[in-house]
Amino acid sequence: MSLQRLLTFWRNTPQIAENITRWERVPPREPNSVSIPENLHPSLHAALKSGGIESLYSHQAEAWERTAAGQHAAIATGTASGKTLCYNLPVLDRLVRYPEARALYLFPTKALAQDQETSIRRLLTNAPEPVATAIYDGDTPRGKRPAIRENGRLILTNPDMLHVGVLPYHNRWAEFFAHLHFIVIDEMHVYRGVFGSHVANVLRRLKRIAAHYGSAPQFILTSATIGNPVELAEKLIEAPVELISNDGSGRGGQHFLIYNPPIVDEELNLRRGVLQESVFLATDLLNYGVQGIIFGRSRRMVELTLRYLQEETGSSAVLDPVRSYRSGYLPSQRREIEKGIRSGEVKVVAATNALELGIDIGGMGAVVLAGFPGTISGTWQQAGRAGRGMDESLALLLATANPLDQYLAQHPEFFFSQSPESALINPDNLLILLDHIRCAAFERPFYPGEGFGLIPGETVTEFLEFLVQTGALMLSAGQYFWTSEDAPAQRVSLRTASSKRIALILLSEGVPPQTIGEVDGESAAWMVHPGAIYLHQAESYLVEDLDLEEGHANLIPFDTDYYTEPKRETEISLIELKAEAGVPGAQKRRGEVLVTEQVTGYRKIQWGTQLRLAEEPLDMPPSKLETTAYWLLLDGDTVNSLRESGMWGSDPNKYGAAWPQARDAARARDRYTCQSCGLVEDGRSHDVHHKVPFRSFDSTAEANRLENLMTLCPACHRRAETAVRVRSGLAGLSFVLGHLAPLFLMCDPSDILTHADPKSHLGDGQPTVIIYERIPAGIGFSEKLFEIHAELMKSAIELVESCLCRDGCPSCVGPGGELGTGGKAETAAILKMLQ
Amino acid sequence: MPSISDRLKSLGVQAGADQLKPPILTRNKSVSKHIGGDLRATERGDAYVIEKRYPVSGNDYPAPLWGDGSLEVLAAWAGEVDVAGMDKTDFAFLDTETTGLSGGVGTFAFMVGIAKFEGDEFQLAQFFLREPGEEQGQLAAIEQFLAGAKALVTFNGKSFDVPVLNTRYQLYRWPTPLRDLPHLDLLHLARKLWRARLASRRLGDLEEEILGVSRGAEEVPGYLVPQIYLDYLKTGDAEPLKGVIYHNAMDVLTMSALLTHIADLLSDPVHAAAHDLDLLSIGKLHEDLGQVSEAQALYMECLGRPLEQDTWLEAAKRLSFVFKRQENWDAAIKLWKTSAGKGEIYAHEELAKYYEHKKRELETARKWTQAALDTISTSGFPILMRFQWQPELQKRLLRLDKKINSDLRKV
Repeated sequence: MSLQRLLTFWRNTPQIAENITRWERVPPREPNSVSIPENLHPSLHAALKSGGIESLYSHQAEAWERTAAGQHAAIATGTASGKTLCYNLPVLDRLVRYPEARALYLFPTKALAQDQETSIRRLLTNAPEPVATAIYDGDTPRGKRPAIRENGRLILTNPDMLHVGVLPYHNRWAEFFAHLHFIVIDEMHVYRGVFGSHVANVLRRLKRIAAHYGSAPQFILTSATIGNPVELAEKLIEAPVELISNDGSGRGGQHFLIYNPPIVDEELNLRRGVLQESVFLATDLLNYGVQGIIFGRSRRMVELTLRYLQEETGSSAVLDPVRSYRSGYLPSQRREIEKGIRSGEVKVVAATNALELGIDIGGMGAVVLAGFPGTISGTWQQAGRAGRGMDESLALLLATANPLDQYLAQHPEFFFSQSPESALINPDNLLILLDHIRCAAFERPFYPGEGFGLIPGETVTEFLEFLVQTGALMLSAGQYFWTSEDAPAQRVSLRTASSKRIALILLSEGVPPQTIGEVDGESAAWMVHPGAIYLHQAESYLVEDLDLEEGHANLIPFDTDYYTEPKRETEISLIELKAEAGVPGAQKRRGEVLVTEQVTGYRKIQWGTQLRLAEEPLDMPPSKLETTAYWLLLDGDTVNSLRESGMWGSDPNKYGAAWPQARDAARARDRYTCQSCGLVEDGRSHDVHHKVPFRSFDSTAEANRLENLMTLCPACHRRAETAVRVRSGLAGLSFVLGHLAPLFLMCDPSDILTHADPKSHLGDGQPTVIIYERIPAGIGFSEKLFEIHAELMKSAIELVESCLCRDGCPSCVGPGGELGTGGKAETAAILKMLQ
Repeated sequence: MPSISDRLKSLGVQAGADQLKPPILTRNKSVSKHIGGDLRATERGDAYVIEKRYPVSGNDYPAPLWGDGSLEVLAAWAGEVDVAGMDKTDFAFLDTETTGLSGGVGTFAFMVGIAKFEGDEFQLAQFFLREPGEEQGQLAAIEQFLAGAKALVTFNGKSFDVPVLNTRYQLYRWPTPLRDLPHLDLLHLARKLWRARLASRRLGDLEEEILGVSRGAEEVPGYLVPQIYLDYLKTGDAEPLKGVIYHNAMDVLTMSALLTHIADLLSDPVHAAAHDLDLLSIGKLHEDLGQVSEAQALYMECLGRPLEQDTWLEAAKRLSFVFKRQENWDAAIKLWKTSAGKGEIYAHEELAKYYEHKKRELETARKWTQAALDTISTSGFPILMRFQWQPELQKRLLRLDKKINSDLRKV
């Protein structure tokens, strides 16, 4: 077996074996098969048989029974455990038996819907009467839509389309809603945080409209392994669900390896880059004929991986065994790559998590995770992509230099003991709720006292009265009528990111301009700014210009030896202070802020050597986010007492062999005078201080550049280092709060951002930690944080003090601050003063 | 606990100044004062209706509201044969004013203007919502009013007015009275007839260009209509609605006048057409309907008039294909030769086909093919057309050469 030979090779090759910090073999699981239910419609029975399925896994049979009993079901079993059959059998059986019955499938992406349509058609081949199955999404041609609305019995769509393209026009779907038996929500774990909170409200609207036409559909939801499938499902559909989580599918054993790249520079504690390392390991996959995916954490990573891999293997033809896959490719390109993977022509594919959701590409021999995906749940989801039938498979997690990855590489048991994260949503968030009550009122007038989902009538009436006040509604003859010109759904985006897309237009001599892909409006400024090198399918292009208003960027083919890296600057200013209060050691505040992010320039970096070739300024329009924030400013006394406590021991840095010369050069330049107080050396040499701390440089030489050095007397030097330490503690505080806050807010960690500033405008020049919301206008998180401040501080100190690490780790105060190192003791010290 | 309203405001939701709701009595008074109208009782509540009567002859509208043109072609075009035999009293002319143009269930028709002929009068009823809650009465009254109508006439009603009204009936789960009525949507016909001649086929522009009507100072542009009504709901002041009432009434009158104009035009195009281009359009319309002899007559009429070259060539092309289908080769060839002389590539090609397949004069066919290739190679020839024709012509030339060679060998 090729995988076995590869593993033997790795085991016996010390350069590889010694980097593997954990070699866990997840034992194979025998399938728990049961016979296909007798009462399944014969046509489906036959379709299963002709597809080579002679029996069901126990969880599939369980889903069949539960749904037959009319219960809502949530199926949470592993990747590739045949979840789709859990809903396809009961739904298709119903559709085949009852010509009136309709069903709605919701997928988080258009690509998934496409994928599922094919397998549904296969199951329906033997149906006595055709069951009209169709995708209805933004890509469905307008001309085809009326027929789909009238005849479609199984509609595949996504929440966004349901929200903006179906519910506001529900009258066109009258028959469909009147006979809607099932709603399937696939991959429900995607619906968390702000997106999930929106989707839960879209489902409230969906149920309201179904009820208007007299139906009360049954729900079937599926989920990847998450901590709280039942809670999430019940929050989404607001009804009790039966959990089906006893995975009856069989799977081969999986070797789960954690690989920490070797240290290449002891002095600087530098490890080999995850990029080179994953290319190196992928070459072995190719050599041993093991088909595999390399999951990169960014689109850029994926492109770089492909490029290096092609250079390594000398391949570049179109029919290539090595491909990349990420969002931003055109659907046709994606389909072609998926096909190549299924047929085996594509041997190695570098991909982002765009390939993580259930795109049907079959099982891989191996999966390489180039960096921790951020959650345990996501790790298992990606690892689950490896494994074909009962064959052995390989999942390898490559640790990056990121402290979180390093922590995991050094504490691999974390993976195998910790339960996966919970997906949190808050459908009752005031602003999200307001958005959807507006949408619902447009879809059918509310009457006074009518509830909305589980929101009681009185509360809804308060919202309605508020909307009357804004002029959006009018109470007339006992109903609240929508009296505004605009259609509210069009103004509400379910995903916080704007829907603006920037088309990438390739200008190439002798060929008409051609769209080769797209990026979202928010990423455009840093991904495709003028002068940027944009990588697409391992080809490099130079961005000639970017037109944000018209929504396109012009690219020309550009063969070069460098890539570009944008420089981004974030600034937060106050719009309006809403509340403030004194708390122990600090002041808490909340209010509206303006977050300005600007790409101010970019660096050209040479391939391979990583040498900075040049730095170019850019004049890009800043992107502005008006949102709400909660912030905490440390009192002057707090800072002083931290300064005086002097609890930090100064570990000497190893400044390299050339340090004595650099140090002397700096002293000579500064005429042996302290640059802070003007004291001239007298008997004892002054210290030489790194303006930007030594540890934040990649190379000793760079850190020791004369421009980065200044001469200080010992007293001034201590003060300077103190400032760094305070910062570090502040960064640690910012990290803990940023990670803890989502637990209290029940939101996705990415819904909020933190910012630590030692001299903040928002904090009267005092050291400040700011937590702000990522959604324009915010959704009330900052208000909540302000309220629970004391509770938040209490759990923060508990978290930091109970952590077993010595000087900070990703699970407490995080990686060292931007300036300074460690920071655990400093963070704890600040937190103590805040209790 | 602060109220939801206060919490929303503190999150920055703009609530606007607390609106003082105008008392219903004041508002209703303002409506009767400025736009008139009466209550009409229905089983679903009262409807508010503004009625106007226009004598069929001797009214202020500058174009005839009805005439004696035949509806036959119109009926055939609409696929509604019954319409041909209908009397003017069978039609209902309908136009709605809505709270928004985006569609969707939350958009409603606050005014529906419908007119019918009764005896010597054109009777217009505008069903108006003094407030949204009167909608059920409005819909019931519309149903009553439409009871005798056998066909519906609208302008863009197929995509807008009828779906909007159907949605309203559906919302209350009543059968819609509009569904089974034959429907003449004049926008579609106007597009067909005047696409080549007029830059815009909006109702207001057709009214001006085709009927010579210009609207008075009360007219408000359509895009302002929703906001005027929504403002009225808030202020209770009905005065600005006068313009909307006028706008709606004019739209309905124009529909009837336009239908009359089109019927006259289609009944006797040779005399009624104001423009030669219209003849060509009507010819095409007949051709679409499979009425070839009518089409042929109109194309021939066109060719006899002093037309611009492009129009002449298009008419000739149309006519030549009519001749071709009739196998009237001499007539067709004459047109093709003239057209080929004016650079028409299709005419070259048709001639080449004719000589190759009908006459088996391969050299002549080759001559026309070569001439076409020469023409498209001239520098002024549009490049896209060149790309389009070139491969086909070259293939033809190759095939002809082969045939000629093998014929030579046989000799």
